[in-house]
Amino acid sequence: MTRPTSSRVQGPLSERGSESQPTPERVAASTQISDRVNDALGLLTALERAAFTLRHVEGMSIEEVGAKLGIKTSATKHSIFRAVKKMRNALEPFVEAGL
Amino acid sequence: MTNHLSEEELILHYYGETDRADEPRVDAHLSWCGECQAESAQLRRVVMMVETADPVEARPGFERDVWARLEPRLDANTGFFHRLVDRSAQRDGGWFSQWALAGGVAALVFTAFMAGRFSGGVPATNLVEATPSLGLPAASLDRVLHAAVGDHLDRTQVMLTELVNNDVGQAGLFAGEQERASNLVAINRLIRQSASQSGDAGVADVLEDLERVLLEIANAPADVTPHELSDLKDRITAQDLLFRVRVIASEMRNRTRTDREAGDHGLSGVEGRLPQRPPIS
Repeated sequence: MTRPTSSRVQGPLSERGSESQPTPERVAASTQISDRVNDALGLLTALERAAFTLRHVEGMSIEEVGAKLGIKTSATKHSIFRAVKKMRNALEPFVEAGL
Repeated sequence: MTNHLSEEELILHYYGETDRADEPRVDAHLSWCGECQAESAQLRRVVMMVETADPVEARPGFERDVWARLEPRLDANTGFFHRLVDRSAQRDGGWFSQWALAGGVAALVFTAFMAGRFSGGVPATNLVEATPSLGLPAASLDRVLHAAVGDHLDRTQVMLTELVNNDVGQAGLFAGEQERASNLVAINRLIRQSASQSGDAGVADVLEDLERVLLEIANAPADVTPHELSDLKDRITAQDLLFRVRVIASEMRNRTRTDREAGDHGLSGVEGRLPQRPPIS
């Protein structure tokens, strides 16, 4: 089963191009989102942040993240799980508010 | 009783990394369970919010922290720095690409700035390993490297110019210069070591003199006397330090321009060496 929304499918952010010219509103919204995301990332431990970022920004698999960080796959999974849980708690109110 | 999927299972499902043995059960459950479907959709929205957010700025002092974490690795011959030297030398085999390494370290910091999500304290090994994989092609990376070194030299020039031309001994202005010097010395050291290792003595000389002055500024006592400040300014002037930094900065700008013109055709056309150390008057 394919999941077109996965970062693994879409590739790293650095490889994505912008499909359209950003409007001022879009730029403002984007800045707000970035601020929220940055605040939420600040709640993670260094390890959680590294694992989460490598998974979601670099698009690595859990196994690759573990190899990069020098930790076991199970520990990597738990770091990512904890990170996602914290990110959800921090960001869900904004997602629900449509930000 | 319905056994809903756990959050962990939903995360792995989103990643497409569900264990093979669990896959039929998870897929089957998600095909009919509205509650888990909603939970999965919510998870996807949150994660996509993160993935589509723009990179953020690094916090102040990040450059200094990166240096503090990199420094121990520079002492180890098998470390990242030497791997970069080897890789650079293998790629082009020439002086230019080896010296580009100097900017490579600067770019390590620079690109880490761009990937600001690392700004909160990833261990050095991870940052070091992760940063070069931002997806930039080699030519683009070189452009970034030269731009980063040029940026460092420009900032150093501004700081030295202000120090030499202004009365920084008044109203705590020197404290501000000290902080700037402290930030600059870290990246300067990386570039200087790189230039030295690649055999570019001329550039290494300038950067060594520069480092000495930056360290002197950074470590000066808070109650520095006007006489001590005057001595420092005299040394900067006597060594022609500003002029020499300006020469290198100018060269870096030229290289950045050449890199841009070279585009994807590679860097083989750039072979000129930096100007020799000007005579000290």
